[in-house]
Order: sequence, then structure tokens, then C-alpha cells
Amino acid sequence: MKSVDDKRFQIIGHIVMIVLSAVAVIPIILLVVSSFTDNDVLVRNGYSFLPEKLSVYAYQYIFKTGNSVIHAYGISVLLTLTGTILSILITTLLAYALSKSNLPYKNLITFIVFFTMLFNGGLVPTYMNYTNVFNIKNTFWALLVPSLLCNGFNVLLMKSYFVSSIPGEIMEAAYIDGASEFKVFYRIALPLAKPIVATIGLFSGIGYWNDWMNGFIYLTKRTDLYSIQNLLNRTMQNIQFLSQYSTNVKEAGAGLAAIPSVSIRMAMAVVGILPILVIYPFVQKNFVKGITLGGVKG
Amino acid sequence: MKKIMAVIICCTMLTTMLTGCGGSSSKDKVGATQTQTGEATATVGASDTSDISDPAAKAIADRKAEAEKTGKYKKVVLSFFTWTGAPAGLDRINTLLKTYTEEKLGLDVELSIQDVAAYQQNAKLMLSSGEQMDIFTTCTLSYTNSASTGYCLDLEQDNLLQDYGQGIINAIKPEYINACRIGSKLYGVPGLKDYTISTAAIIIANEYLDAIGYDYNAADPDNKGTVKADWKLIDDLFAQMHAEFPDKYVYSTQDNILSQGSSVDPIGGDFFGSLLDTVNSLKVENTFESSIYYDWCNRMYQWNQAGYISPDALTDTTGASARIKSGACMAMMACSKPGYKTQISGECGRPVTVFQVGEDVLKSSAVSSFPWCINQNTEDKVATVQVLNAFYEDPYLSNLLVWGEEGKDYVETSDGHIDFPEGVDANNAEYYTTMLWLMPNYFISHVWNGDPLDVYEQTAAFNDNAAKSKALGFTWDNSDYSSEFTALTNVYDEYAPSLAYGFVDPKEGIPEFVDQLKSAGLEDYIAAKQKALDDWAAENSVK
Amino acid sequence: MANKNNNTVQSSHKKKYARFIPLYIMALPGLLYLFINNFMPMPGLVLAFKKYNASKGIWGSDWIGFKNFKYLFATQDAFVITRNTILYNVAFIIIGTISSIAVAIILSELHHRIKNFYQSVILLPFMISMVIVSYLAFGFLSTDNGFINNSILKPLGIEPVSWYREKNYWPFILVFINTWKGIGYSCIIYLAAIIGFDRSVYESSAIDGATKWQQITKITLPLLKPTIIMLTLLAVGRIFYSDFGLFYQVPQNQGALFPVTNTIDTYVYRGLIQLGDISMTAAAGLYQSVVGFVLVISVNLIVRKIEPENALF
Repeated sequence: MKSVDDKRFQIIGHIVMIVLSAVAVIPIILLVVSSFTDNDVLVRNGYSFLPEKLSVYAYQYIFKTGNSVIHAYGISVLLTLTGTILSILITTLLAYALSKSNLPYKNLITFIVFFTMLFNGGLVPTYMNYTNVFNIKNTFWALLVPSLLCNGFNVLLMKSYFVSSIPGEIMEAAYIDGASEFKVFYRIALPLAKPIVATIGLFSGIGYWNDWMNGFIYLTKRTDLYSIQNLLNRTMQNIQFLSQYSTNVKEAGAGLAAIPSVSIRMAMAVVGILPILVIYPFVQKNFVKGITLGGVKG
Repeated sequence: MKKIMAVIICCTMLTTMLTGCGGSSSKDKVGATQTQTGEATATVGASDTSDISDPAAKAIADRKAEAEKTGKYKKVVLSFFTWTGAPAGLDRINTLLKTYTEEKLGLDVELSIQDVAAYQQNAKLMLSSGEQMDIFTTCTLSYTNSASTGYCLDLEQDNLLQDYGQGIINAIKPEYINACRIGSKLYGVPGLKDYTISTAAIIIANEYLDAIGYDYNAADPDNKGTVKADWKLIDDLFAQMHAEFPDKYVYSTQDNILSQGSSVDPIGGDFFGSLLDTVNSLKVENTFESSIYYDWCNRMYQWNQAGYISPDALTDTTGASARIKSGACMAMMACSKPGYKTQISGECGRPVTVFQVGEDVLKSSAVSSFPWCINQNTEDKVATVQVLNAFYEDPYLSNLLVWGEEGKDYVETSDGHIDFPEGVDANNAEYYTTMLWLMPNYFISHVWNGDPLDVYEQTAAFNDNAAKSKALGFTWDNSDYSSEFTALTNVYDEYAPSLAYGFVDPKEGIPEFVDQLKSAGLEDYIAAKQKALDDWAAENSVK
Repeated sequence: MANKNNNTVQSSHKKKYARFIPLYIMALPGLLYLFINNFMPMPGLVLAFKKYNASKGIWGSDWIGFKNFKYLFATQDAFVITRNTILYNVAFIIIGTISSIAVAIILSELHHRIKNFYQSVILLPFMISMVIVSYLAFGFLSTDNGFINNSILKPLGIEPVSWYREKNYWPFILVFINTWKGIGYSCIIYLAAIIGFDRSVYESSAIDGATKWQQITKITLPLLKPTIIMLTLLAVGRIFYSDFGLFYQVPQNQGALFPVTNTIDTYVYRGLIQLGDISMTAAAGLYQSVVGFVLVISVNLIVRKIEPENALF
């Protein structure tokens, strides 16, 4: 039953979203256009929606030279898939356990989880830990494990959802029927928690896809393990470094000349978000399906 | 924060990579202790560049015997960076290297190459966590900081350098080696390169000079590579170029007016207190109150007012030569050296003329800006020193490191140069590092096509003939003043670029800048530097 | 329900803990990971109080008390960087929360399928790294050929603005960019929460004649309260941190803008990139963590007084 009030809301809502979408998209269009712009034109005239001269040189460069971009995509995909699945598993289990109000030491454990969000040993101790104690340097594990596999934020978010959105009575009933904890988790809590699981999965997936830090510090020899964002950000870091210190490092001028030009950087950025652009609509369909299915209660 | 901490973690004391040399260090420690410890077996001839003293030969023989028994050679890793990371052909080079060094040194030597930002980031991590990084360059890490943090080995410990590093001692002049001493201990050895700089070299692309009718060939009849000039000529040329090409910017800026544009010596590693007359005086003064600084800022201000500089100069991160390459700008300023014209023409993508306005100077920290160091925790100190030594004296190793594999990465030309093989160029080369200036000793390697065959001799002479800084050899660990340094750096980043690019009238801008520096602790910082310098001068009998 | 309480005392103890074993097993992977990833390196925080020397290692290096912290406080910039960091974060929390909730509500209420398209599109900016964003911002704000100067101001006859030299615009520019980048991502949490709400309450209120606005303010917002409080508390914990890319790269490290763009993180970076002192970096990190921690505990205590179930603990 669509009232006038609802109709008005719909119109306002659409207008707002159209404006927001436009604002979100316009710079991205600029990004794509500049990746197809001839580099010298880019340097001379700056970024423009209607450049003087177009060129596919940037993409040719990326796909032909250096480390294979296709290979890097493969690594990114593999990493994101495994990482997200493992992350969801670990996070959900922990969050579920913490959501049980009668769990002994629950508050202590929750506090410990929270504590990890604020305090961090620092880069050097973390690096030493993973490199010397666990020997994961220059392996795939180095991309998967540090920082990304589970974090306090996701755990607490999920815990809060379990607590507030999953009625205790349903679970009590299951206990009475003799169900084990795992069964209750798997059969009842998890399906009801679909929205939050999908959310955490999305966050985790995005986190893995975008991460370049792990690769930057832990991969010094295995260039075949570079993910897409790692590839892109190495270049960016090199450029930032050089342009900052070209005053002091007089050879840096040559370095800046050797590094991929602006249009190539733009192209690398596009290459980095391209799969997301392609895949996200599919992910989102399931996301929404999962959410709405989970939302039907009563 | 993680990200920031990660990026911060490795310091970049790139200050003064400018060449500046000079320094009469009267303490000729290295020369004095150069004794022949020969015993019966090994030949000890000064001109014999292969192993001289007995301990060295003995060590190699021992290692090889050990390796025969166990079948395993000890590994030594040499770490550095290139602008773009590990070259595609690295594995191939490492294989060749391994074969050669197993035979020659009884060791498996491996090159570890990263990209520059990663190197800066990771070197300290690796050194702190005890990973294998036996020999490393301190470029992008601060040499003084690395030494004071305990990363670097004292090379004269147990006579290591004397017994196993004769090649190094022979290749580098004693005054240059001594320039890398920190408080009389030697923690690193410099790579051989151009330490001297010819300051204030104005580079102008030839096509614009043609358009205004300036005959650069006539100006350099002997084809020396540079044209002697003064500011009047430059201003004149710029005015004509600006009139002729109103839609281009004349001058492509960089933040190098002090480092490359003047002979002001960033004593101790930064410009917060420098030697204004480095050849004659040891007085540490406030750089930014000097007339040299005022003149430069004023010149830039005039140029900016005249419209020679892009309004976006401050925010532009493209390199100065890249802007000339793209046709946006017509001229830039840098420092010159033998063979520079070829190099900068390549960078700018077109022939250029180099106008020499400043003078040649060897600044105090030019030699010690980024020595090669050995890891304090290296497993076999003798072996590591011998590896470093080998790169200084063995042409095969130097060529392998610098240029790659003969036949695949370079070929000899008919006149004694080397060049790309058929079908290979700078874009698809598998091993073309362009990091000549970083290498231990490229003087014993081939000369690339385009440079005169004697360019290495010219460079060595260039170094020796320049006016040298009195303070050559002085290094300063500023960790006690890190709080002031951070504050000063923030002030510098806030005010200096606008002045250096001529966006602010120096008459008002400089006093404001200096005031802020003073309240950030500049005077204490300068006083501390001066004291350290005075102490050093007294110890080394430098007047 | 009832039969649990009927067990005898002896076996009730065993049963009690036995009952929880499966839960502990479930919690184990996560806790193990957090232990390895976060707690094992934590003793390394002592670096903040030591003068690190590689030959002595972390444990052997000398203690120097609070010297490593000096550079954060004993400077004329200390006030500016602290003020900037806090004020920006407060602005981000307020504006971010309001805008994310608004968008989440709109998206949840739209009927047309195109809402999925909207949601995908507004998420895109999040996927671009801040460095690229800084290039794009330059494309808009460049003095010479930026989009704003050339295509908006010039046709209107307004003088071009030297954006990177005028600090007064930048608080707005930075807040805008931060919101632009984050809104697609942060609205997801709220959206997931909203979609999980029981629809029957809305239906019955509609029957009673409630307007959309009333539904939003009287049903949706109160139901979102736990989520809002939790997210705000967590954000407060990070109030001394700032997005390095946003405050360093987007303003292109321009000195003229420092009074409004210099934060604790950028200040530390500028100094330490040349000093490279590991212990000083550790000190900065510790400082930020401790302040955030104290703030969160305090705010949590306040929340506990007012809304006990919504406190973090």
C-alpha cells in the first residue's frame, strides 16, 4: 500500500542516491579516462575528462612488462577467497561463544579481544614474531595471516549482533531438545545471522583484496606472490619516496624518469578495482538475498 | 598507525648525497697500518690485484676444503635496491655469481635486490630481526643512525680490513676511506663515484635554444659537455625563451637550490646549521639567514613573478626531467659531473645543453653519505669482508653486478664500449639496473656507449681536483636532538618549498621561516653541531 | 530449562563446565590467532622506553625512560597536531555516523531494484587507495588545469583559486573526501542491521498512520542504538590516530596547509622518515594507543551508567 508519504520518500530517496552515486562515480570516470590518456598530455595539461590525445600505452605496459598482472590477479583472488572463508569461520565461532551470557570468564575474554584493537606490539616486534618464530616470510602464509585473519572489531560486531538479534528462546528450545552446542550454532544461530556474516565476509574480503602491506614487508624474494594491490602500491611508494627525496638524492631524478609514468599509475589503479567492479554485482545479489532471507522472522 | 609506523620505520638520511669531498684528514690511519703480513706461501705484490696477504688466501683455501667435504658452500648475501625492484634476470645473474664465487672465494654469494621504498622499509626490519643480510648499502637508511643503532660491523675489528680487504684499500684513497669514520671507528666503506659536484648547472633543451637563436655549439667548441655561464646569461636566455614560447613554462622546479645549487655544506647531514664556506671555515651557521639562501630565493621569486614557473609547481610530484620530457617545461637546475650531458639528455628525452654557473666542490658528507656496510651479526666476518673486497677489485664481479651477463645483457662494441645486444632496450632489458652510482666500484667495469671511454678517469680527477671541504670525514649522530630535529623538519616542510619555488617574497618569507625555526630549537641544534665539529677538529688536528 | 536445575550438586559442577567446553573449543581458533598476532609481539612495546641497539637486541638495549616521547610533546606543534587529530576525528564520527545511517535507511526503504546499483556504486570510492584519491583530488584542485578552476569557476567568471595554498578550505575538503570514500563502506553495517529488524513493527505502525519520518525516528533509530553506540565507542578508541593517506598525500604535503592538515601521524612521519628511530616510532604508537584506551574506558563507563546493555563491557 503506497501512500503519498511513501511516494514522497521514494522520490527524495532516489534523488539523494542519484546525487551520491554521481559524486562517487565522477572521479572514477576521471580515473579511467586518464588511464587512457597519453602520458605527455597528462603531464602537460593535467587530468581532464576530454583529453587531447588518447593512448592505450599504459595498459600495454602493464600487461606486457614486469611481473605478470594476470598472475597477480590470480594471487589476489586466491588470497581473498581463502582468507575470507577462514576469517568468517574463526570470527563467527569466537563471536558466538562470546555471545553466551553465561559463559564463565566471558567478560574477561571480551575485554582481551577488545584490547587487541587498541594495543599493538608495533611493526618491528610483529615482524620479528612472524619471521623468526613462525618463519612465514616469503610464503603465502605471510599474505594470509598477519593482521587480517581475525580482528577484534569484526568479532565484537558479530557478537553484538548475536546478542541483540538472535532470540535466546529459540536456542533454549534447541538445548532442551538435546541439541549440542555445535548443532545450535550451525542449524539455528548461523542461518539467523546471515546478514552479519555476509557483512563481515564483505569487510574481510575487501580487506584482503586491498591489502598490500603484508606483501610489502614479508615478500622480499617471492615476486611471484605479489597481489595486484601490492604491485600497484610498490610503484606508488617508490614514486612518493623519490619525489620527496629528489632534493637529497640527486640520482633520484633518473629514478623518477625510470618509474612508470602517471598514466600507468592510473591504469594500475583501474586494473586494481576492475575485478571488484565486475564481481561485486554478483556478490551483492547474494548478499541481499542472504540478508533478506535471514531477516524474515517470526 | 601500522601503515605509518611501517613507512616511518626506516629512516632516510639521504641528506647530502651531493658530492662534496675534500677534507684533509691528517689521520691517515688506513695507510699507516697497511702492512704486508705475508708469510711464505702467497705472493705479495702491490700490483697483484688478486689476493695478497696470506690470511686471505688461507681463509679461501680453508673454506673450499670445507665445502668439498660437506658439499655445501657458505652463503653471503649482498643487499641493495633499484628504482623498480628485482630485475627479471636476477636469478640468472645469481647462478653465474654462485659458480664464480664458489671457485674464487669458496662461497655462495647471492644478490638480494628490492625496490627502493621496500628496501628503506625492510632493511631495518631485516637487520633487527637477524635475517641474512650480510652486506648492505646504507643509501635510504641513515649511515650514522645505522651505525649508532648497532647494525654495522667495525671493519677494522681484528684487522679484518687490513688482512682481508686489501682490494678495498687499494681501490679507494685513504682520505675517502677515513671520511667514513664515525668517531675513529670505520663502519663502512664508500662506493667509488663522483663525490664532487659542479653546482648550479642549468640544463636547457636544445630545441628551445635553437628557436631563440643561441649557438650552443659555438659556446662549447672543445665539446667538453658544459658551457661556462653566469646568471646574467641565464636570465637573458630565459626571458627570450619565455617570449618565444608563452604556453610553456620555462623552469622545472625541484627542491634543490641548496643541495645542488650551491656549495653550502649540510654538515652533519642536514641543513639546520651548515658550513657556508666549507673549504675555508669550520663555522656552523644558520643557512637560512645567509645571503646565499636569500639570493637563491630572490632569484626564484623573480622567475616566478615573470611567469617562468608553473603555479602547480609545489604540488607536482613528477620529476623535473620528466616535465622537460613531456614538453611542459624547457629548463631545470641540477648539478653536473663528467658525462652528465649524456645522462641528462637521456632523461629529458632530447638533446640538452648544460650551463655551468656554480663551482666544483666536494662537500663534507659527500663521501660518507651512503657507504657499504657489513652486518654486525654476519655469521662469518672474514668471508663477508672478502666478498665485499672482491667487488672492489675484481672486474668480472663488478661487471656482473653493474651490467649483468655478457652477451645477454650487454655486448662489447667495436670501440671498447658496451651497449645493449640486438633486440634489447631499456624497457625490456632483463638486467639493467641504472644504479651505477650505488655500486662498490664501477670504475673497473665497462663504459656504456655514449660516455667517453675515459669517463671514469675523468671522474676520479674531478673528485681530486675539486675544492674540498675542511670537514671531510665529520659525521654526527643527532639522536640526542631528535626532538628538535623533528620539529625543525616540520617547520622546514611548512615554509621552505614555497620559498624555494619563488611563491613567497623572501623579504617577508625568510624572516618568518627563520623565526619559526628558532622557536623549534634551531640555535640549540646548531650549538650542538658546532661543539661536535670543534671536538672532531681538535681530535683530528684540523684547523 | 527446568531439568538443568534439577541436577545434583556434584554432577552439576561437572555438567556446568562440561557444558561450556564446546564453546571454549569454538572460541579457541580465534583466541589462538589473537594471541599469536597481537599478544605475542606486545612485549615489544618496551622498545618505546629503550634506546634500541641492534647488537644488544630489544631486551638488552638500555632503558631511557620517557626520552623517546619527548618529541611528541616538547614542541611548538604539539598543540596543533593534537587539536587537528581530535577535531577531525570528532567531525568524522559525527558526520560519518549521520550520513551512513541516512544512506542505510534510504537504501533499505527504496523499493526499486536500482538500489542495488546505488549501493555498488557508492562502495567504489572505498576500493581506491588514498594515493590515487590524492591524484584525482589534484585533478580537480590543480591551480593550472584543475577541473574546478577551469570548468566551473572560469565559466562563471570567478578568479581561479590556488587551492593548495589556501588552508581555510581544507577542513571541508578533507571531511568531504573522507565521507566520500567511506560512506559506501560504513553504511553496510547499518544496512545489515536495519534489514535484520522485524518488519511487523513497521507494518503495524503504518496501519496506525505513522509517516515515514515517524517510523524512522521512533522505530529505526532506537533499534539502531546498540550499533551506533558500539561503533562510536570503537571510533573513540582510535581518536588519536589519523588516516595517513588523507592528511599527507591528499594535501600533497603542502606546507601552507600544515596548520590544518598536520596530525600526530604526519608529524611523526616527517621527523622519523629521516631519523628512522625504531624506538621513537614505538613511542608514538604507544602514546596513541594509551590515550585511545583511556578514552574508551571512560566513555564506556559513562555509557554503562546510562544504557547498561549497550556498553562494550
